[in-house]
Amino acid sequence: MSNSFASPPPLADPQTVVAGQPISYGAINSIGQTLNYAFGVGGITNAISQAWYDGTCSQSSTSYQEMCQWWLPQASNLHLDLEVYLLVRGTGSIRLTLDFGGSSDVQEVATSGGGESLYIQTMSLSNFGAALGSLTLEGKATTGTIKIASIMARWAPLTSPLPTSTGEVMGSDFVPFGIGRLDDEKPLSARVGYNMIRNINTLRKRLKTWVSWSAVTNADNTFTLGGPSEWLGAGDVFRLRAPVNAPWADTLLESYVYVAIKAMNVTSSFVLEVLGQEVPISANGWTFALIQLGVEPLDSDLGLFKLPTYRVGPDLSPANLDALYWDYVTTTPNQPDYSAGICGFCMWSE
Amino acid sequence: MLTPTDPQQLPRVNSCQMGRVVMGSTMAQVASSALQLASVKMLGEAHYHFQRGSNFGSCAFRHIGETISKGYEETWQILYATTPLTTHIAFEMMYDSIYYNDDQPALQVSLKKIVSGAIAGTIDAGVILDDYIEAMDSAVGDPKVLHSGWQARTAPTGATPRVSRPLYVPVENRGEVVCVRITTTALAVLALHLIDVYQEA
Repeated sequence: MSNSFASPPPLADPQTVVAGQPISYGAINSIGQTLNYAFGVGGITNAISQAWYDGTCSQSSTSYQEMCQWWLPQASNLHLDLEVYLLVRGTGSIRLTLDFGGSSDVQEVATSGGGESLYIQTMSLSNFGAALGSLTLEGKATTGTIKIASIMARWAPLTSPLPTSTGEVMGSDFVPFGIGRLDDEKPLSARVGYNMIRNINTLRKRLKTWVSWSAVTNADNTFTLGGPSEWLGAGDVFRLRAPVNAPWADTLLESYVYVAIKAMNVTSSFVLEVLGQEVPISANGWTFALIQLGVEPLDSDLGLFKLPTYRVGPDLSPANLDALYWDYVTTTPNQPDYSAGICGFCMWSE
Repeated sequence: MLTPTDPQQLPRVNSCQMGRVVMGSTMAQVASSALQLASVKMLGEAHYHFQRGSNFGSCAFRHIGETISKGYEETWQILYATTPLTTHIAFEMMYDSIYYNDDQPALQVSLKKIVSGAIAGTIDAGVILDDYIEAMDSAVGDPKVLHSGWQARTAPTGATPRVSRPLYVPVENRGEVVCVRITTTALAVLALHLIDVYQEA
């Protein structure tokens, strides 16, 4: 009994199964394939996305220096391979560390000189110790300087047929459909209906990345044509706010937005305002919070993607822009002159 | 076929239990929810923050730390993971363009495929935009925003248009990672947001 699916999937027309219509196997089979597809392939898109202007993420040290770190959600417990795409110039190495609750993988990418080249590295986990994990990037040069232009990561989509084991998305079970059981001349069992409802509820929990931003630490810093951003500045906040569609916003009111914020130089607690809510930060390192959407769709952006559009990210609020003095940096380079700085900001939603 | 854009209420589990009559509305709710999952929730999207240079460790007041001199140009190659249901990619771009050097700000957005681990041929020549660019006379101030719109037209042919439109992904490249290439004149890109155009099934 194969847990197969067509890609793209055959979509069942809801109007073929309304009252007064015979429930034919075609619609049921299509729903099964669509859900198998959605688990294996659906929504498998950019989990990490960031780009740097020429030289603002560069390294000339000949020993590995930790430069960037992001957090990202799993696609499911069966999506074990993360494909990392790097655009890099220069001769050196990049070491990537993927860690999901102690289940980890470390890979090194050797880069060669010349122009900007694409490097693709697959990171493989044997299992997941947690549903959220981190990707850390370290860099070193062999000669001269390596310059990273962009990074993208996505989970490798699963191919048909799905594994026979039960899957899991953010702690909820997914039972793949044996498509043969949904074929002609087969009974429409209670189990089929039960699994369809459960699987849809599970797949609604798959997280999509809204914001993935990391500061660049330990990098070359010439302070001439632009050094790296080592913490979040007021000039970054405006452009860190992403237009997203949140189709669940009007109907699944219990849904939440996940936020991960990395802070440094914390000497006393402070709050960061995100989507109109305060996220308290009291220690160096990553702070995690679940918040509600808390903002209205922007009238001017309605229909931008043919779906209600929200603009999300750290708020452009006085508390964020002024109280933290992100826009008041006048002293020694490499050291913010306020008590704390934000050096990582990631956001995901269902 | 009607595709609901927001998640629909699912039937109660006990409506599917043994001995119950399977109602048409029960299956219609399940079919609608599966359709919404595949066609709306699970579209591709990517949100790129373009980190510009900073003279003091962060972007304090200015959105761009670099000096934009006459004839300034930049090129970006941005990777995007499409899904098998991706047909058109809508984009929103945030930028600064400065015309005090008498340059005419312009940009081209195109789509390339990846072959054998390298960025290869063009699959959509995309758009060249100049008249639509708002120029400023200072790098201080709110960045400008440019939208592609979501008019998912058929596969474009002929000359590269000068009217903004979503990028088209040919059938053979759907589900693959593709490269969005941006070249600019007198314009600095600050952020790029890519979202699959929602297509009613």
